[in-house]
Amino acid sequence: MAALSWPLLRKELRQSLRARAALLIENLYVLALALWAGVSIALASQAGEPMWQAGRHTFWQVAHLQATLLALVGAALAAAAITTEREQKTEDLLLAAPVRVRQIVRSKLAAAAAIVLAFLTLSVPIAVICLFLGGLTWQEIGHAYLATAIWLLLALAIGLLSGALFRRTIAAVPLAVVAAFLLDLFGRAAAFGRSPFAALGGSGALSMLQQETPPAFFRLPLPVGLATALMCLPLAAALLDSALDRVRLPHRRCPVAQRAWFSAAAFMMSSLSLGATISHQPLPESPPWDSLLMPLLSLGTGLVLAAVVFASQGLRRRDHQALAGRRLPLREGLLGAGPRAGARWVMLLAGLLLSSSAVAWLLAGPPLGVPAWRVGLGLACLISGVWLACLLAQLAAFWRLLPREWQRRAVAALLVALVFAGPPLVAWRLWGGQRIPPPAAVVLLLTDPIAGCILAFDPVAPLAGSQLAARADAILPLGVYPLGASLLLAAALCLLLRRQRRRLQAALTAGLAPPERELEEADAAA
Amino acid sequence: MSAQPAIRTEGLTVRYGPLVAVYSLDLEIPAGVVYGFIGPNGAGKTSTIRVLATLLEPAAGRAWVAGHDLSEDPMSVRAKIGYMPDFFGLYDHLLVWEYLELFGELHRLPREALARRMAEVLSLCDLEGKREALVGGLSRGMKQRLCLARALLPDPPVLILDEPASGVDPKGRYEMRRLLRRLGDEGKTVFVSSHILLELADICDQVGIIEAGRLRASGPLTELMAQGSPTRLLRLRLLGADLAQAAQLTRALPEVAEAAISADELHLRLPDSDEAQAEVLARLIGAGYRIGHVSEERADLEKLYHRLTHGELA
Repeated sequence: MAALSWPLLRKELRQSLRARAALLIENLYVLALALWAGVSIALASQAGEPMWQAGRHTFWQVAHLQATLLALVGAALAAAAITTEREQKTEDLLLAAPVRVRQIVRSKLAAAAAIVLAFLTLSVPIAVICLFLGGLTWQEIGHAYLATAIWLLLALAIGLLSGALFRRTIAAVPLAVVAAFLLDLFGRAAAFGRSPFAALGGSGALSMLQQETPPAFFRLPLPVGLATALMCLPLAAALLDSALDRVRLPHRRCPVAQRAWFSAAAFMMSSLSLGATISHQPLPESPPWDSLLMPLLSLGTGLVLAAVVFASQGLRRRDHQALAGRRLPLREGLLGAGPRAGARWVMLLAGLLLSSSAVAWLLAGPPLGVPAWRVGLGLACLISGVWLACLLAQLAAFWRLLPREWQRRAVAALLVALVFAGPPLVAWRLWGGQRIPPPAAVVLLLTDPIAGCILAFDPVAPLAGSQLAARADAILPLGVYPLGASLLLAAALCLLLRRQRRRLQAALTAGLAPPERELEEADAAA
Repeated sequence: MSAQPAIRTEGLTVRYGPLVAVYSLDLEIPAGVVYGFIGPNGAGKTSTIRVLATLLEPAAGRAWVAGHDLSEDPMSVRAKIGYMPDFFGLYDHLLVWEYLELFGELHRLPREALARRMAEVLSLCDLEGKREALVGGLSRGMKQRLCLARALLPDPPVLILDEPASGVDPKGRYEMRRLLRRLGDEGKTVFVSSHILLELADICDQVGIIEAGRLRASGPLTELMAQGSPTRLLRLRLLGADLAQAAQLTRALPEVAEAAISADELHLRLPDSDEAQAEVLARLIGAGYRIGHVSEERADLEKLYHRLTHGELA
């Protein structure tokens, strides 16, 4: 069976390129690039810069702009590719044709990638002009395009995830665009120190671009970039595959699995972003293998999350069987039984091993030599993350048995925790990694108590200043705050499940009241 | 007709959470028949069809289409069916031929066969002139026919059609019925659902009546009619006669189960037999009555349906 369905790929391209919006977006995009390049060159000439320097600055600015714009376009395209099938009601026709779901997903992904990469080539004339102005090499330009292409694959994965989570384009596309923008802001932009928040500390964002060395993001080591993209894409595709597969299962009203996927993906994204951020800013004294540290941690986290996602799928199927009148044995545990249980265990254990090794390496290894309390904190974060993931998987299995009110509360808690994980990062960037001033802490305490508490009494901040501590501070808050929030959420979920345990066990051990019995009784009565 | 049934289900049950949409459905539809699947809205028709089209996994039971087990070999089932849902599944930005080509290629039709089949189905569905038209620009009836053309394109032995004529004008409905009957005559198995009985009465060889997720009756139409209603209603217009007197006379006849006067007509309920009808008419003529007009009303699909169903929802 071919990996792609070429007829579907062709259809996707025809449909996307014939839409009225396609022409508009393409023209606006070209206009934006041309205007930016024109203004940049004009300003550079006015400032009396030599031509080679103007060309160099213009190219890097355009490269940044197109990476951001195309990430937004790619995420929107990928999200809409899935949801429009649902809205046009053509999803059933594709699923009823002799083509596999994964071929449909891959074809859509390939079509979106082809369109975005075609858009990427629209800036080639500007690159050629900049090349002729001097100051740039072919290698630098090629590397910039390659790094941008890898970045765009990540944006497509975000779009796919969003398309899988929502049934309507109107919900999926904005979410995909916002998520891509945030990732761009905190991931790509942060990765080369071009975050607008970083710029608030002194020099403006534009002035920071006026340097002669290529920005760090575009010096992304290829293996790291590819590993990042290749890790993210299959998981996004697998999630979407599952979402489409679930169409065939009658219990479509079980939204928790989607939420669990989303949180798993969010965790992975933050981990990837973290990996990309840290791995490209090695300290001068770091050994050469130090750059492998964070990708390794990302890979481990990704594997853990993938195992949990697949486990929750397995549990959902068995939950479905339980609801069909058969008993769900509790002893089968978190990762369930069946042919894939072994693979799930291997993934989970490998992920845990990699993550814990990387954390231990990071926190207690020779390059940093951090205090023992930090090792403990790091491990606590890891354990809390795994705990949360396990709880989410359990919750995915038992979700239907929970009262509706509890379902609503749990979703609200999850969303609040996710929302609360973001502001600390923003605030931390605003103050450049230092302890925040008391008035700001008061404001934060009032608006976001968790973030305020963490930032006002942050044990990491006083260490800021030394190079070593700066490195540690760059790492820990990114991991600590989301995982701290996850710890709180996990506690809430645990409490929730404890309160419901008796009810769940009664339902599972006594067997659910099978609807057949009700029907038979009704028949007998008739 | 081959011995193997085209569609078979055993204890097929579909659930949506606690709701049982289809309960233990047993069907056996021989190859080459037009099977009407009738039921009110919410009876479980679409759920059954979605299972047969491999779009929904049953909660219990098994099903086979064209000899292939749905749960074990869904890809083979998909290759053997032409599925038409109860809504338009169209890509507005494609041309008609591009739309058909897409699904032909998904069914892996060789290029020459695809071109030939496209010409055939466009001709069959009266869309030859619209080959180069944009799908979004077609009228509703044309879109419906294009959906059918898509379902017919791979020349599947089994057609599964969910309310194929819904929302189509009377002419379109007539043409759709004629087309379905023609496909049945060509040896295809057509599984067609509808809640509009008149659509199916003329074209079906067999019918199944489903209500509240349970099959109330299934089998050849003539057998169901015979089992369901052994009487017929005779309407007589007698010229210059006293209808009350005529009613009194006929009530005395052993063949007449019921006699009533409605406006200027005498309505007699008789056993569903030509002999009984001939005997009653001969007695009336023998008694000097002049019969100006005779019409008979047999038990039809609608009556059968109303008798078997109770207006329940799944």
